[in-house]
Amino acid sequence: MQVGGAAAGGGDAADLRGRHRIQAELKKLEQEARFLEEELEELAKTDKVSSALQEFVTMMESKADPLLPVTTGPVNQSWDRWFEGPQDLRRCKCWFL
Amino acid sequence: MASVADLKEKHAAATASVNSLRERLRQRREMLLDTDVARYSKVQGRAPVSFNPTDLVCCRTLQGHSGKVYSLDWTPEKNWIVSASQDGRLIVWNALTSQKTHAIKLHCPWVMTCAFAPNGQSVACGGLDSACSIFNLNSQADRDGNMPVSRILTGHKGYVSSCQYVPDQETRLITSSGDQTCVLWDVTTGQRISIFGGEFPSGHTADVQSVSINSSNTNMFVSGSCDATVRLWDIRIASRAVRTYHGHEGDVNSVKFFPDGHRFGTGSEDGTCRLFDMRTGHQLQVYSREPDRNDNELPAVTSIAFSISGRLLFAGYSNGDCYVWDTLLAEVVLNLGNLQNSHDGRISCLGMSSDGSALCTGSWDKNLKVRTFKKRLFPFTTS
Repeated sequence: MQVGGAAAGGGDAADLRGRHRIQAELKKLEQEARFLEEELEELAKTDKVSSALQEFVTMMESKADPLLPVTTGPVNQSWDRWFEGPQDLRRCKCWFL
Repeated sequence: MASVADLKEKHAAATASVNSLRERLRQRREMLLDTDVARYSKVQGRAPVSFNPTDLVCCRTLQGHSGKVYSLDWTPEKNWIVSASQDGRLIVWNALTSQKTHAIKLHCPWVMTCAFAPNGQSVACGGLDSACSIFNLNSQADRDGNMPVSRILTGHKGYVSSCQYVPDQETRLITSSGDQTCVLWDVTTGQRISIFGGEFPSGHTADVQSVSINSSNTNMFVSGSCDATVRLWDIRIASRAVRTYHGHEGDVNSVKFFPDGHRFGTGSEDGTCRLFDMRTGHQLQVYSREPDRNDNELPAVTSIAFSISGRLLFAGYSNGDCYVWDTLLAEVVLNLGNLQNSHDGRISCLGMSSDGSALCTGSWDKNLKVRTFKKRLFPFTTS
């Protein structure tokens, strides 16, 4: 490894630091290029968006959803627990911070 | 040894090569986008979900914070919620009774995120202290009434923006950070198990704002960042992201896996939500609101949540709106920010109860609100 002598001063040392930094960035870029090439290859084997949508729509409509006005069964009566029981706030000893 | 000038030339060539590859990828993806969810669903004859304004009632208003609410999380079982606020406290609520079971004063008041452990016995929080603090809810308070920290997870070099326990694992937690990384932690030892991003290529290139773990395959999680991308990670392989998802034009503030685990939703500073296919990388749908009459900048999406079937996408915005999107038809079917008993400020966080029966929203108005579908009279309409 070349190191600038004292007489050569900061110029060579700065050059060395610059070199290491650029080499590290170059390695990252080369790695990223490889990842992108892999992704391009994978994409060449990937189906269009429409292929998966039938399954997507069917799946969504097959699950019971308590927040929908109309939903498929089975129904769970615990969904209505939010309306049960006395909401007796007088007995609540909560404090405000 | 190559001179600096040679290296700079190679660097420029490599940059051009990467940019060209990115552009080719973008074009190839565009060619595969032959439709989107809404166009497909309309062709299939699907009708949008139809709500009356009074259908999603506010059944609880949880009052007690003295500052903006920044984050909330439900327990997987029971009906408890933990919330984090600008007032420097975590509060644990029994959402069913509205009672506060714990109020935890934090050492660092600038908290940004909180999470419940899967067994409901601990809570985690993090923020500008760049650490994640764990509290065991069964601990005894000290003489001053303060709950002791049971563990502090240190190592991030920037703020902790988001945290989530790995489902069904009390001992593992994932955090996202302003230091551009995500970390998988062992909570019992306080050690970092893996760091995602940072020195390795394919990591985020700006602050990470949000994480979501796939509950169908807990080895996978997604992270959303200020670099406008979302990245998919396999917790067994920290050295590179599995995939990067492009599309947003601003910070990605919120990511959430779709209930089936094969897709995920995002919310961004660019004012849109998007739905992506995890495996193929396709952008399946953009949920974009109409610009206002004065053509002002679109309000940012701060937080999102899916209903349990995924048919509804809830999105909180920086202007106080909380749109309910029909995920299939990409139409807004309700605005929770415009109803009776709405929040008086920005909605900063959203969370769905584990059985999907209730949505909790947290706001800069210092309150949390729980909404559910109005009481059904049995037998009720089913399709």
